[in-house]
Amino acid sequence: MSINDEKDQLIDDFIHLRLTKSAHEAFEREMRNDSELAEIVLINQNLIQILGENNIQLDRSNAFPKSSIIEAKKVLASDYVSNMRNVLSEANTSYQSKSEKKSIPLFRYLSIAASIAIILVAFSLFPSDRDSSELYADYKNELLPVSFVERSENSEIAEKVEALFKNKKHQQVLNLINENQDMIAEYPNILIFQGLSYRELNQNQLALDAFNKFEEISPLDAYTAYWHKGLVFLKLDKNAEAKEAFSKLVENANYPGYQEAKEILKNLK
Amino acid sequence: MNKKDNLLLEGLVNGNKSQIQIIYTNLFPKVKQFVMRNNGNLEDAEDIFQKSLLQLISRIKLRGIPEIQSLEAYIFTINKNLWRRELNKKERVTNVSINEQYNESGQNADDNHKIKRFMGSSLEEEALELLEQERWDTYQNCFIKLSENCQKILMYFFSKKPYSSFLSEFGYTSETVARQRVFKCKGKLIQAIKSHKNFKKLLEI
Repeated sequence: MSINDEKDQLIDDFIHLRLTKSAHEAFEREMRNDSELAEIVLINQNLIQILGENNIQLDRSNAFPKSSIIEAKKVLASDYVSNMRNVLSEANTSYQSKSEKKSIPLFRYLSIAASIAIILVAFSLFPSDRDSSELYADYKNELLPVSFVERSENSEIAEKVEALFKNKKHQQVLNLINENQDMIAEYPNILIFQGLSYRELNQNQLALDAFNKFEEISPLDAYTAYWHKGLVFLKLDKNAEAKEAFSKLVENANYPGYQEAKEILKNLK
Repeated sequence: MNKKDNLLLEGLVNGNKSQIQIIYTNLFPKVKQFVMRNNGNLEDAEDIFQKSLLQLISRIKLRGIPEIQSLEAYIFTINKNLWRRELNKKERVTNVSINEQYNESGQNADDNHKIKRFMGSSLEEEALELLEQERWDTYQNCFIKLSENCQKILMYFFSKKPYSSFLSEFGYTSETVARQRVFKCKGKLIQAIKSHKNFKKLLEI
C-alpha cells in the first residue's frame, strides 16, 4: 500500500483526534484490515513521541513484539544483571557519601579557601624548583588529543584537521575549524586541536577559551582540558593557575595525565 | 565513541568501581540538576541515574554496544527519557513488590530501602523501558541520516508549527508546497525506519 499526501493528512488527523467519531471509527476499521496502514500509523505515533517529545499515549504492552519483551526480561533477570544492580547501588552509596563529605559548612569553606589563596600567593612569590618554561617544554607534547581515525562517519573534516595539526599547519587548522563550527557538537575533540593551534600561534587566551569550551561541552573528558590549560598557564608563567589546573587532574588516579600532573606539581613546589 | 568512552563503557559493563565513579563524578551532577529542575528530588535523581546505567548494561548484554557518538550525551538522553516517563505516570510507584531475586540478605535497612526504591519497577516495566530506548535510538539514528534540510523541516513539523509559518522559515511559496515537503521527508524517514535491522523487533501491530 502506498501512502499519498491525502492519506498522510488523514493519519495525522486520526492521531491528533481531529476526525469526527464516525470517520475515526471507519479509520480504525481500515487499520484492522490493513496491517501496513496500522504499521505506518504506529511509526507516526512514535515519531511524534520521539521527535516532538510529546506524550501521545500508546498501549505500551502491545507496542513491542512479545518475543522482544521476553528476551529483554530474560537479560534483566539474569545473574549478571542482578549482580550489577548491587554494584551500581554500592557505587551510588559511595559517590553520595563522598559528596556529602564535600558539603562542608560555609565558615569552614571560607577558611579553607582563604588558606588556599594564601598558599597560592606564597607559591607565586617564591621561585619554583624548576622554571615553568622548562616544564612546559618537557610536557607540551604529552597527551595530545585522541585520533579521529577510529571514529565512524562524517569524519573527513575531522581527519583533515588532525592531519594539518600533525603537519604543524596551525593557521590552516584554525581556518578549517572556523569554517566548520557545526562539527564541534559531533567531534568535541576538535576544540582541543583548536586550542593547541592557538597555543602554538601564541594566541594563548584563545587557546584557554577553546579548552574551557571543551570542558563545558564534554565533561566526561574534562581532564584533557585541565591538562592543556595547565600547560598554557605554565607557558605564560602563571604558576598558581597552572597548579590549580593540574591539581584537578591529580584528584583521580584514573585520569590520563595523572602521573605527569603529579610530577609537574612536585617540580612547581 | 572515542577511546575514553570505550574504556568507561568497558569499565561499566565489567563493574569496575573506579570507572563507575568517574561516570558518577562527571555525569551525576548534570542529571541531578535536570531532575531537580523538573519536579524531582535528589533521591529521584539517584534512582534514575542508577536505572539508566543498568539499562545501558542490560542493553549491551542484549544486543551489543548501541550506535552512539558520545557516552556522556547518550547516558544523559537515557536519563531524560526515563525521567519523562516517570513524570508521565499518574501515580508514582513507591512501594511495589520486589522480585525476590533483588533482595540481598545481610544488607542494612537503609541499603534495602535504597535498592527497593531503585528497583521499584517490575521486570516487565524495565523491559519496556529498555525497548523504548532502543526504539528511540533507532528512530534518531535514521533521522540524523536524513539531509539537513529534511531534518529541519521535520523538527519544525513535529514541534507543531503551523504550515503557514513554513513559508517564511523555508521560503516556500504556498502551504501546499510545505505539506508536500513534509510528506516527502516523512516518507524518507519512515522508509529508513522500516528498513532498519531492528525494526521488526521494535514494532508490534
